[in-house]
Amino acid sequence: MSKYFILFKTMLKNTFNIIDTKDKKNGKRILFIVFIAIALAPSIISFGFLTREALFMLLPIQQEGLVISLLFLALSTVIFFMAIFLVPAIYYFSKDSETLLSLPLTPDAIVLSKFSLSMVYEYLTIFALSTPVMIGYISIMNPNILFYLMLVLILLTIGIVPLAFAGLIIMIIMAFVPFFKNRDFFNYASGFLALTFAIGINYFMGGTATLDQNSLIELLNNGNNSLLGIMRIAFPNIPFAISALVHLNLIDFGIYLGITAVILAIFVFISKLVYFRGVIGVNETSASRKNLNLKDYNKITSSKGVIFSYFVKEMKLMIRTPIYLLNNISTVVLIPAILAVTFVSGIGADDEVITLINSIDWSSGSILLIITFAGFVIGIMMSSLNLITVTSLSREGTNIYFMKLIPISYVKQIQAKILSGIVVSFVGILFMLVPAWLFFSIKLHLVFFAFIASILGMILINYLGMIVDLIHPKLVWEQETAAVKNNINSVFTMLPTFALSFGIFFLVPYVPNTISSVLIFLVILTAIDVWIMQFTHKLSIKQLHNLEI
Amino acid sequence: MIEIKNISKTYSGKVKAVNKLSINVEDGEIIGFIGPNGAGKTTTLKMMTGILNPDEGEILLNGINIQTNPIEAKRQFGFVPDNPDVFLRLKGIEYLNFMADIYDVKDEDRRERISRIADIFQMTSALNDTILSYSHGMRQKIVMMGVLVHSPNIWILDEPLTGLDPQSAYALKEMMREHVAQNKTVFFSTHVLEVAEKLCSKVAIINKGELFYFGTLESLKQQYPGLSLEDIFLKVTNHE
Repeated sequence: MSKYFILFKTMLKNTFNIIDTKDKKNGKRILFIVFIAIALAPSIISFGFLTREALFMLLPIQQEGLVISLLFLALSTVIFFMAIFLVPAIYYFSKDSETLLSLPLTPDAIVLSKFSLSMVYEYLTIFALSTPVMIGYISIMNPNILFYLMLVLILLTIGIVPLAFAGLIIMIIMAFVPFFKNRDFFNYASGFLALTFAIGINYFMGGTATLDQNSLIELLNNGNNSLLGIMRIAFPNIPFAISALVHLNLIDFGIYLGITAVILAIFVFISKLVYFRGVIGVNETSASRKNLNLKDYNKITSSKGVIFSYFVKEMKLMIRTPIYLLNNISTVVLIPAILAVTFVSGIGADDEVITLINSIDWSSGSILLIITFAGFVIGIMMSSLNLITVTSLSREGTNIYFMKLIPISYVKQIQAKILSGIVVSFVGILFMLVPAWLFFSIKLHLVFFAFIASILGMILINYLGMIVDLIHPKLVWEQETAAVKNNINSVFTMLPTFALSFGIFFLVPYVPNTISSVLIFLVILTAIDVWIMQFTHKLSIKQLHNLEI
Repeated sequence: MIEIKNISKTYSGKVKAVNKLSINVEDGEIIGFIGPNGAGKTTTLKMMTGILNPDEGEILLNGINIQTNPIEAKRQFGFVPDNPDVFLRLKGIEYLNFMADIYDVKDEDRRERISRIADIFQMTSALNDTILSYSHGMRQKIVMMGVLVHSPNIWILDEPLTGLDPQSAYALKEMMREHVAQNKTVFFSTHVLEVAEKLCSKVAIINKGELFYFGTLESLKQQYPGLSLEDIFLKVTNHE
């Protein structure tokens, strides 16, 4: 047990040291936290109000406990799915795995310390999800001190069961299914499953109507067969946690803790048996060691020109790194696919959006303004969601020194990086515009305006992404995931994108629907693009010159 | 030719990594840059290559200032860093071709060079595999090959022999000798004193950021009669 504490303490320190290095200046860090808090405040507040609304509806039918049920089941499910991706990275593919293997440590000490580290990661999710809901709940129910005590203990321990289940599944797969031991294959396979899951959820949610009090009662009456029931079986400790809080029942609270402890014990016991079997040799990479034939050799060694060669290098690294492929490039296919599935599955349903879309005469010229704005929104959305330019320096990690070493100007290098973002964004835009054009039979000249607006939007967001990454690159990381998924930089292109998307449609009623309005909009956009390009070029010289690692 | 004039570097405003260092390297010289861990060797090499900016002083490579004319200065040298883990998901051959593109190497030149150097380093059959699948020594070789493919005038190498097998280490040492025989320059850091002794025309000994000695080994030995290079090094680096 003492080895476990030493390991856990070291891992925790190492993780927080990394966080310290990336934000050297405390002032900058505080500013960051304040910005994020402000950015998230609307969602937190609206979640709180939503909880209050739900409680007002549930109180008359004495089902107020449903709020807690939903929260706990949502927490368990979300943590389980996050853990499915987190566990392989932390338990198997992290850089410390090989070092730990050579130390005289038992498998359960390693696994338990990594489990505890995952718990620390999950507390952020638990805190973010539960705070608004619980504030809403507490503001109406006014519970006593026992409730607060049990709530805190439950929130501290609720992650254990889903993490243990995810850990068990992954450990067994890694120990007994040999090809999953290839890190790249694992990332591709799990990523593919996640994407399928996302599209599937959209398909099934497509026809869901809004919930009113009658359908809610109906849902509750059929509760035994519902999704809720299945999830209760999946997480057997949760019903007792719910009952403990709703009825302030200490026995149920004890049973909750007991079940949690038993599942943790099973997890530790199994880890002793299977962890080493899976982790040994996990970071080996295969190679063919075959000579190139002359034709291929000559083909590969032909010159390409500096920017193009740099761009090809960027694309190859992105496509061959599973985490980057899934996060950066898959959006090109994923977002149009989700929209298509939502649209197709929603057809025939009494849905306001579909009715609105169908009510518009798409072949008419009177929608010029809307369609230009829509093109712009598609352009900025497809550019910000792929996270390419906004993480293009972060993805270099500590190898960013290479950019300072070679005789290519910083401006050219960032142009090549932006080009990779632009190409992917452009393909995404085509995947959105071409089907829309064919499906709604929009007139060609209208599509042309939408296309121009989308390209200008695409340039804007890709350059904005580069500015963000130039100002705050995340260069110290151990796992590629950290450079893309856990990189706060993406918020700084996402938020402006969402704000612009909503803002521009808010403007529609106030702007005359004429060709001159559209042209003025495009000219202003072009001017902004030209300015942002020049600004980015100047900034790149300054920032990269001063960057030291 | 390398002219390092009075350069200093302080990290985070506190730790003085390099202090008023000056070294003049003529064409046709192999310089061994030696010093204990943390002496400031890598910091100096990084300043020479434009990765770090000196707080004061200037560095000229073949007469070109790395700070005022960085692009042209960077064309003068090839650099092998101490950590060869770069672009791990590119194939060896793709990395070499990328480097050749960056330095505008003609197609026929790059083909001839890659094939010749791969043969010397016994890397021919590994070129079509990703660098990720290479051992540390093989990664070291591919980065070295990335330098050789554009045939720079000045080689700046940070611990280039670490991890190399005996054949490749021998081949690299021979290449260094041939390079300076053509009146070009090699500047490399090393911990292996025997290598410095056998290979270098001059050594630069750095300790705690300050240059302690720069000159030929013979004249150093004359200052400490009867002592081996190892003894001299230990004496010098322990000297306060």
